[in-house]
Amino acid sequence: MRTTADTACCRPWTARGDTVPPSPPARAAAGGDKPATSQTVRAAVDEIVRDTGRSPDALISILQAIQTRYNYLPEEALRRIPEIADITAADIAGVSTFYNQFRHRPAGRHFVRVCVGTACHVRGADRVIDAVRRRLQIPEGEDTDRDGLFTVTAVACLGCCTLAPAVQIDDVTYGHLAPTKVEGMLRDFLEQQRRRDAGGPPPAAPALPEGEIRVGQGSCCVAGGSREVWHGLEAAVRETGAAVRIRTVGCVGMCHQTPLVEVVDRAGRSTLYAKVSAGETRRIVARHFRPAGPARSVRAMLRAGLERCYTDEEWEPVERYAIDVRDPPVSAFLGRQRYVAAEHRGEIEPLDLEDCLARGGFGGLRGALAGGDPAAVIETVRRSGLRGRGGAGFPAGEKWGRVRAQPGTEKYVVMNGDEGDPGAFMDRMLLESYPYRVLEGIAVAAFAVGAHEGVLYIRAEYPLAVQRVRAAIARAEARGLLGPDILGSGFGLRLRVMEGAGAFVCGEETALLASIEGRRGMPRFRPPYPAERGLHGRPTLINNVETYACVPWILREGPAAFAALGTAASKGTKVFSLTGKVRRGGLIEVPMGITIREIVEEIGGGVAEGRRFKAVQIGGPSGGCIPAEQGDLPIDYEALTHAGAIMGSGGLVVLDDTDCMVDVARYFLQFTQAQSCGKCTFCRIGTKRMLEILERLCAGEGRAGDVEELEHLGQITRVGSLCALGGTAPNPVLSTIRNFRDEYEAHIAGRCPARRCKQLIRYVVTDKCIGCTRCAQQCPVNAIPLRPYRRHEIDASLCSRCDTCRPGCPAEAIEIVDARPAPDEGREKGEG
Amino acid sequence: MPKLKIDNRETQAPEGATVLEAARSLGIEIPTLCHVSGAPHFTGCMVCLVSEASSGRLLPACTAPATEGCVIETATPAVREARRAALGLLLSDHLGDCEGPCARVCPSGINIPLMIRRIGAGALAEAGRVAAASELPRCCDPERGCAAPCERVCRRNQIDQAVSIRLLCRFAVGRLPEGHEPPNKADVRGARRFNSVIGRLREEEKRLMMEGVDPAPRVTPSAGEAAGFAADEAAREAGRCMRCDCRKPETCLLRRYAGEYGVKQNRYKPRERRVFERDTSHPDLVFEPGKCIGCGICVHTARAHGEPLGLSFTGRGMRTRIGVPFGEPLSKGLTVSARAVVEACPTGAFAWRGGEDEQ
Ligand SMILES: Cc1cc2nc3c(=O)[nH]c(=O)nc-3n(C[C@H](O)[C@H](O)[C@H](O)COP(=O)(O)O)c2cc1C
Ligand code: SF4
Ligand code: SF4
Ligand code: SF4
Ligand code: SF4
Ligand code: FES
Ligand code: FES
Ligand code: FES
Repeated sequence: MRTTADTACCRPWTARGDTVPPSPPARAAAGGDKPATSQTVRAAVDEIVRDTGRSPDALISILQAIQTRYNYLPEEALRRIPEIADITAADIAGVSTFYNQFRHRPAGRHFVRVCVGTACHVRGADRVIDAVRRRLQIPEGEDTDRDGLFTVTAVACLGCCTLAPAVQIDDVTYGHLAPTKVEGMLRDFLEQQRRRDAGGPPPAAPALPEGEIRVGQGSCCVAGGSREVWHGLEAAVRETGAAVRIRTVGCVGMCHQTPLVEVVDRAGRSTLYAKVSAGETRRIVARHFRPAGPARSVRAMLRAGLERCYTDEEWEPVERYAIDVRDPPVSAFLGRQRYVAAEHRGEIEPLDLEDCLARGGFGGLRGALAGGDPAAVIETVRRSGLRGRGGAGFPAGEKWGRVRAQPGTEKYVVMNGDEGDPGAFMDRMLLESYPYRVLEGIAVAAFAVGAHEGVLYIRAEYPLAVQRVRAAIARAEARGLLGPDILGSGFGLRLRVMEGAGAFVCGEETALLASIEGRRGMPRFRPPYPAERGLHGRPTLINNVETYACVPWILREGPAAFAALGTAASKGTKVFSLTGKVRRGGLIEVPMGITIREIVEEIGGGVAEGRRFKAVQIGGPSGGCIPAEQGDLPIDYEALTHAGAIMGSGGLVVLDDTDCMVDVARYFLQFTQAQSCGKCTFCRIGTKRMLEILERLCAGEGRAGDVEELEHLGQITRVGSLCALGGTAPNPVLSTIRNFRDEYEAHIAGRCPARRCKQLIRYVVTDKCIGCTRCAQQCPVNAIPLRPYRRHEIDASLCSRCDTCRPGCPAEAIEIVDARPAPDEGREKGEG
Repeated sequence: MPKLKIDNRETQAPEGATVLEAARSLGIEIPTLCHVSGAPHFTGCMVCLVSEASSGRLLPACTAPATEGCVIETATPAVREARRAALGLLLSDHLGDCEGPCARVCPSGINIPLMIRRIGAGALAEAGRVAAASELPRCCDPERGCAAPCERVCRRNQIDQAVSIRLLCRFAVGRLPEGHEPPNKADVRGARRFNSVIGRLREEEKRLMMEGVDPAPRVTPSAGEAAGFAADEAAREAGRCMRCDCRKPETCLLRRYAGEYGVKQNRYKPRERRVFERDTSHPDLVFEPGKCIGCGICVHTARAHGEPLGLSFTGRGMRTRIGVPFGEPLSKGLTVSARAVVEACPTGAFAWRGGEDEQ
């Protein structure tokens, strides 16, 4: 049962490591221990170029290969490229400095990637990154500690938003972090490292299956810590001697409950276990699969054991152990959903082609090829009402028709899997969990438009998706489902994967094409649209991952079934990553037309006890905030745009009353500003000037007129920018001004109503303090003098507002107040 | 051949023509900074925006195709406002003095830095003509006199002591050829032109600004203040001038459009101004990144001339810079295309070492 690819995804914690061989420490050792001589560097580059080819297109792949080898881009290596490839020095300099992925300086042995994506941001990622840097004593302006052990970088969304705030160290992900947990995280990592270096024998494979255990293997599950769970299950299965098949399945969409384990017993009954820990695996296995030699009493005993663990001290609150999907909250979570792109969610093994075919996979392609009428396929897609899921919502059938109508035989299909929204990961989930479905959609599209070559552009940070898609392409080719003669129809399609290199703007289609061509990812003016002049100047169809993923369903169920879902102008379903301050986050696929409130309350279970649902941020950095009062707004392209947000790619971040809207606007603008390609004036400089105003506001240096100036700059940047990155960058600002102007005014007055902006708040100890000294011991900057049994006090001049002390206080005696005190309060403080 | 309307005038454009080309054929002026005829469109500066009447959308004229039936307006308030904003934003990230601080305040409107350079080069009659271009300099006119604001604002004050501008001025006027009568222009200072201003130098900038400048203290005339400088003394004092003014103040398009659109340099004030940089690693030219608008024309020009190294953009967004690959000096990047690059660069970023006044 264990093929090579399975092995990779069956070992959760190393799944990422397997895809980026060798792991960073090994790389560092390879490049670092014996200094590479210029001759070996040159030889290495020669070898790389032999693999990638010497055309200008290959530049990004060449740089990626060099970096994989050396951990950074040695100048020696870069200088070698123009000598042996058709690439100029200027291109190398331009490209290697454009993309975030590339480093020009050596890095530490381990990479600490602190997620500062949206979900992590609203859960305090800024405090976490501060804590990490402080703990490693990294000087300002640098990213590596003095011993060269850790390089700390901020990344936008690791794709496990439900574990926010999250940190990835090499291939290990840590979730639910807080400043207090940083120390433990680093220690745990080094401990793991030691154990891994020691090594261990691979577990033996069981015989014929008499039951099945499915382990979720989406990135959230992996990050949720299913390594131990996996080993625990295997060990337990071996002990019972039962021939149980352990399979990996893609994301089930319940990422807040990870790790997830589903057990299907001999009778085919299925039970879902959530938030499983390694200690529980034996009991789970024993509950369903009797050891050889029947003994009812043993079983009963084990059952009792299982029951007992509800009250076991080791167990955290009951929520940790939601067993049954039919439990009200969980079924609400899954019940309102409708699966098209994510059909058979949690049931299929991502790379099992037989399973896929048995469920009707590639039926749409088979039908299309048998029909032999591309125009009919386009008509079907047109009638389904499918619109692009990448953001703008352009009708898919219409676009296909335009590409088809172009003269010439050389055309391309491109899949946009760059997914740069820092709070979204649905495309990653689709690629990881349903690679065949996406491939089928692309093949159908290629047939419809008459393309014989295609590129799947996948975001750099998604190694697991890249690996699965590559494997899926290889297997589909081996079965004749892709390749020179698909299913004997005479139609051929060659697909390849290109990994992005870390630039949000490359999601924009013309920048994406530039990137595929090995250039800096700078957008160009449209028209001409890619449909007319795309890759290498040829007509090119570009669609989003999810757009393609909907196609097989449409072909199988018919366009009318798809069009029956949704609203008048927005048909079908949409996948969202529901994150932020919601109780049940994760990936959801909902019919268009569902309201925001239904998503937040029925599916997401609302916000935490005692908190107030304030707004949702839809569409990520291009989108906007919709206040709770407009919760009845349906999910519909036009309705969202009208409300100042956009459908976007599907990030949906729920905000509560502890979220500051000015800070949220600043957060998104900071993201887009940093991602601006720098070509056009408004986006490059306009967003910077806006950001500066927002930074002043959050720092308590706001001035009268700031809001008006933001509106002016936002308006002009919106209409004057070359591409939609700049064109939509002001949306988060303008939409929050529109709906939460009072918060802006409060900041000008020096107050942050949500008590979030560091410079506008102060930490104080109230008289609830019991003198336990806990805060004093935990404060990383020693702002709280130790005063056992007496009321503690925080020295505001030392306090860094890291929020370490407050959650740790057992008496809830630490409060956040406005930094700018009311006049009389000021006197009091002066005396103290 | 698409037919279209620009500012209410019908025209027919050749197939594939841009709105800009169509407008120019009608004699309608549209400002451009990043556009070069015949080169691939860059579409970055956005000062060429025009409005499409039906949708009200703003389009970059240099790139937007002239299509059948489209109606374009090039001078509506919205268009002017957008262009002004683009120029204002560019200037908010711009570091340079169009004119020297001294010249900006001189009541006789003397191009002081130029006069000083002429003295330094030994072109003394020419120096005199610069000094007396509009009138007899006040400081040389015993009846009027001058409080010498030039020396008060002289940037050299920030290093040690101002350049002896008055003495140099007197020296220059004294070298006027026989019979040269200064004109008596009514409007001495001429029409006020746009002026970009750096302001105070930061500590770390001073060293760079002083590169190639004589660090010696102020020269005192050996024959006494009243007698003024001897020729060698004047030349030495001239060597103390830091050359604050831009090397391309007359040909710079940014300055020209900023003037035409009435842009204030401080309309969009940055939270922190950028830092002065100057690259002198080429024998003939000087590159000042603070004056670069990122139009990419130099990159394209160097490439078109087949430079093996050439220039490239590095970085992204606000950190985008122009540079020679691998940090090589400009002399290696621009082996055959220096002239073309200086001439093509729309601002003073790439300029001849000697500046415009020596061309
Ligand atoms: C800044 C920016 C980022 C974008 N990012 C993505 C992305 O990550 N994925 C995507 O599919 N489309 C993205 N788009 C939209 C694409 O340009 C393009 O519209 C889309 O891929 C077309 O596919 P669709 O019609 O299937 O949506 C982005 C656009 C912009 C302006
Ligand atoms: S007193 Fe301030 S710095 Fe110290 S733990 Fe509390 S919030 Fe952090
Ligand atoms: S580049 Fe142009 S705008 Fe800038 S200082 Fe020189 S003349 Fe003035
Ligand atoms: S240093 Fe020269 S250019 Fe600068 S202000 Fe003084 S005299 Fe004028
Ligand atoms: S140096 Fe001149 S030509 Fe080059 S990008 Fe800057 S402004 Fe344009
Ligand atoms: S994992 Fe941090 S925002 Fe997604
Ligand atoms: S990744 Fe496992 S449920 Fe989402
Ligand atoms: S000239 Fe048109 S964008 Fe610069």
